[in-house]
Amino acid sequence: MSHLLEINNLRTHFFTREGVVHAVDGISYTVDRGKTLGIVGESGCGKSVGAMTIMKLIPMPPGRIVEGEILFEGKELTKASERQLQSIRGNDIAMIFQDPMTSLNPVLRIGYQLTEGMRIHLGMSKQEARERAVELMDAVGIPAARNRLDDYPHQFSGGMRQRAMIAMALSCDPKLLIADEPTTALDVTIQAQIIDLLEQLQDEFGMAMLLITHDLGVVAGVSDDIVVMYAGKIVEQTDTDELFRNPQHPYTEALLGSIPRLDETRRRELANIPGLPPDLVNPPSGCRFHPRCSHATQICVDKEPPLAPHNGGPGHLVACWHYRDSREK
Amino acid sequence: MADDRGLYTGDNPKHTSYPEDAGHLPEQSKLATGAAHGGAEAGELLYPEQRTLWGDVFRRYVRNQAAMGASAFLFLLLAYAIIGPYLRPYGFADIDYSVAHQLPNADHWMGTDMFGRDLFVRMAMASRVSLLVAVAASGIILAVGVIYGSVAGFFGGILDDGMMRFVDILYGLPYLPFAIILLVILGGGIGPMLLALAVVSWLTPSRLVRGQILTLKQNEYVEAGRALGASRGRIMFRHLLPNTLGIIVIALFLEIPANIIGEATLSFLGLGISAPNASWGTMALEGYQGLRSHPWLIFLPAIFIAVTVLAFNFVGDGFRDAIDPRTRETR
Amino acid sequence: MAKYIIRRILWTIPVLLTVILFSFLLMKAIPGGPFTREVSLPQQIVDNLNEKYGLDDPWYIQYARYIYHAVQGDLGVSMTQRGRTVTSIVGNAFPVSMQLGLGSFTLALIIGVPLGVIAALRHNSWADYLAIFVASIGWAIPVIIIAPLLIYFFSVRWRWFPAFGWGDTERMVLPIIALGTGFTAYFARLTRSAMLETLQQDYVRTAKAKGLPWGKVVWRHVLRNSLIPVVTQAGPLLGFLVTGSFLTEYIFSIPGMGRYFVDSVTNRDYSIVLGLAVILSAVIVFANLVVDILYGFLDPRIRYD
Repeated sequence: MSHLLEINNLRTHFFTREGVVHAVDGISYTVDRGKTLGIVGESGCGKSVGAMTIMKLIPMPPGRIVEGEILFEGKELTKASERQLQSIRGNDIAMIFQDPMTSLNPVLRIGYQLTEGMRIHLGMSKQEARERAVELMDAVGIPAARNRLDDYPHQFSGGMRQRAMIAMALSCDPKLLIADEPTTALDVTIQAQIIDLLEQLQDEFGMAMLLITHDLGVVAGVSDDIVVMYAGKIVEQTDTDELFRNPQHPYTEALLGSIPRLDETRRRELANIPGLPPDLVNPPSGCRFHPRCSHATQICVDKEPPLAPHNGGPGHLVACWHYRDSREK
Repeated sequence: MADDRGLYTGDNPKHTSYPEDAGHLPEQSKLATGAAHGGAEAGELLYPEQRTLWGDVFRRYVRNQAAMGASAFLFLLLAYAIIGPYLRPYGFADIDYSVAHQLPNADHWMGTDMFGRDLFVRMAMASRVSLLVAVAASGIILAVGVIYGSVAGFFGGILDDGMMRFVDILYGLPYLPFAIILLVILGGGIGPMLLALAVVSWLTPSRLVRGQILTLKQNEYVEAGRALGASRGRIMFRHLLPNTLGIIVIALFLEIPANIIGEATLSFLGLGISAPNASWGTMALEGYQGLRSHPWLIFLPAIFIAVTVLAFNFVGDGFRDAIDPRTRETR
Repeated sequence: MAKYIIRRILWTIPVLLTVILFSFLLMKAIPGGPFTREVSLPQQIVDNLNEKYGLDDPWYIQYARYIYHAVQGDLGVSMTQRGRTVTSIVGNAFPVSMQLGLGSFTLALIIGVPLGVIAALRHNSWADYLAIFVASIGWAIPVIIIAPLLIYFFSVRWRWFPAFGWGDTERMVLPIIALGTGFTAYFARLTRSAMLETLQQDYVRTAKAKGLPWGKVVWRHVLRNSLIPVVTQAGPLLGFLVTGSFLTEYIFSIPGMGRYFVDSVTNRDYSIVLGLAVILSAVIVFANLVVDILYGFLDPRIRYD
């Protein structure tokens, strides 16, 4: 069974004047056709960098892919030429970003920005592309699409802009959509709409999706599988239901515990994870989470735990010396 | 959003991802999602020693070789201006036709002019005048600009509108002609020169400061301050101005060379300080008359002007980079 | 867009009027009238002359009268050069200054902007550092230094170009280079930093992510956006060019407005000074107008406010 996207042991480091930032330090995951993989973690854990490395969108000095493979439909992307990458970007793999206001060019009309990709990758004429753009805008729920083709981004509201970005991403019928924090800059109510929209579009267009976010709520409804990242490493990886039902890594537990829940009757303090995010230039030794973990012992300081199946089953991987099932004795 | 033809900030305030405490400068330029920092946006909080803002700035500045070299030069220049005349046995107005038009030699380290006056001493005196005028003028310009701009920016509304319209109108005044007219009316001398230099130049700093204050006002920590009950004056002084300080200092360093040139230009046109006192500009004028036969007399002040202006520019640039290094390299 | 342009045009009128008012009042403030110079005339004659030229009316009347005539193209008569109208004097000087100013501006544009673009695209390479270095120096060294340098080497020593006067192309070379160098350097720096800043913007990343070839990204997304801050900051410079040429005209003995200005001020020739100040202000205001309109074309956000 070949995966649509396969990442093996990817390491992306940034060589800056202040030191080498180990942003992504050995991650591996796969995405299958038509499925959704959610990547979850706090700011700075490397989830965005990992995703942007796929299409080599990171600044290449000072960034560098130090190790690893990225296989898209069997093609090794790390070795691809810029030309080859250009034909994949926007075409087979599309990406949407966090802030639609700054991610859209303020001086160009929406219609133009929507049709750019289609004319280049699919060879459509201006007329054809415009027609298709209107269809797409309808599909993402922008009212009066035809009239708005010639508007500028600042004339749209935040939610509409993000929809336009999505329409733009889908314009060439990509096989994989990478959504980097697509809802973070939006109001909560709009967030829900956008997530629903993404789900619906995935059914319609049949593309796979890589959904990156720090918000577990966002990922819960939409993803098939989830990868939890911390400090450049994957700490837990399994399908969504299993993760929520049976979190094993202390970090995942803490994340889930820190969400306020509607069904709680007792009032309790909002739990948070003590400590500060790790320094990626000199990360903690052993398990990178150990300074903030309430279950840490000496081995956690000395040796880095491997990402391995826990005894619950082969599909559920954890990187921890004291994952939950092993603690309850 | 463009700010009135002032600063193009192109920024959405919500996007600042740095924690705002009073001493921390807001980020004005854009970065792709922290990728350039390898995702370590919040990592800076982690360093064990307490890093102050100005400590950071100082360290970065010191690493900038051009700026350091320029700073060294400026100190030397200052020393020369103050001590120079005492180092040689000549007075700056001592005429001696027998030694006129000499190029630098053992007796006259910078040569002599058409009246036989020693140039080493004269240039030192001229340096005093030119530097004094430039720095004082810049100080006045910045002071007026800052006050005007902060008042306009802070209070906003109609006051702001009115004040900036006034600035818009004044922008239409051609600088040099009015400076010339002013100097003719008021006669030569340092005071009138300061006025002439300042009268139109305060417009740009005021716009700059106003723009900065407007941007800062939108930041959440101002709201937080008000929610905590801080008075407007307090907000202005403790929160807004310190963050504007960086811009002001940069503007100061870049205003000084402009005024050096301004004073030199006006003096060159014959409106400067009267003989036998000298400024770089008046000496250039004297030298200009002998351009064909004795070019050294104009090249000397010219070199001083050029190098000093360059030095101030380097210092200003260095300071700007030290304050906001994210606009520069690593990309 | 049309509304924006009209608003901008209408705005120039109060600006112009105010500026003329300023100049007017300033002139009135100069101690001593035009008739109180070398030869001391009997008071009676002075009074008569003052009356003839309308100098004893209250200032606002004089001002109104001036505007009235100015609009019809009559800027009065020179007070020192008998019989010549201000318009004719200024009329001869104006095109000369304009040529010089526009020539330098064009030079700066043609050389400076591409230089800045290239430096930004080759950021951190030797080409970039070289460009910054040259630009820093070019901007720092004022006309007052470049001009004599140029004259000394190209005119006196090597005799390539004449250094004085105006008229044929030969004479235009040195002054235009002298005036243009500073601006070229400035444009280069400006363009470079604008480009660098634009290159870091999110939408450039989006454009890349869409798979657009780099050339297209630069051309469509980067250049136009970079021009906005360039126009913003360089635009007002257009006005300065006309006045900056003062010094150049003086040094190269070019019969432009600058030359006449200083002389007229010293001679207390009100009408010429006023006329010149008015023309200069009008040019600056007009230049600002052009810049604003250009800005409206480049940045659609500004049109809709």
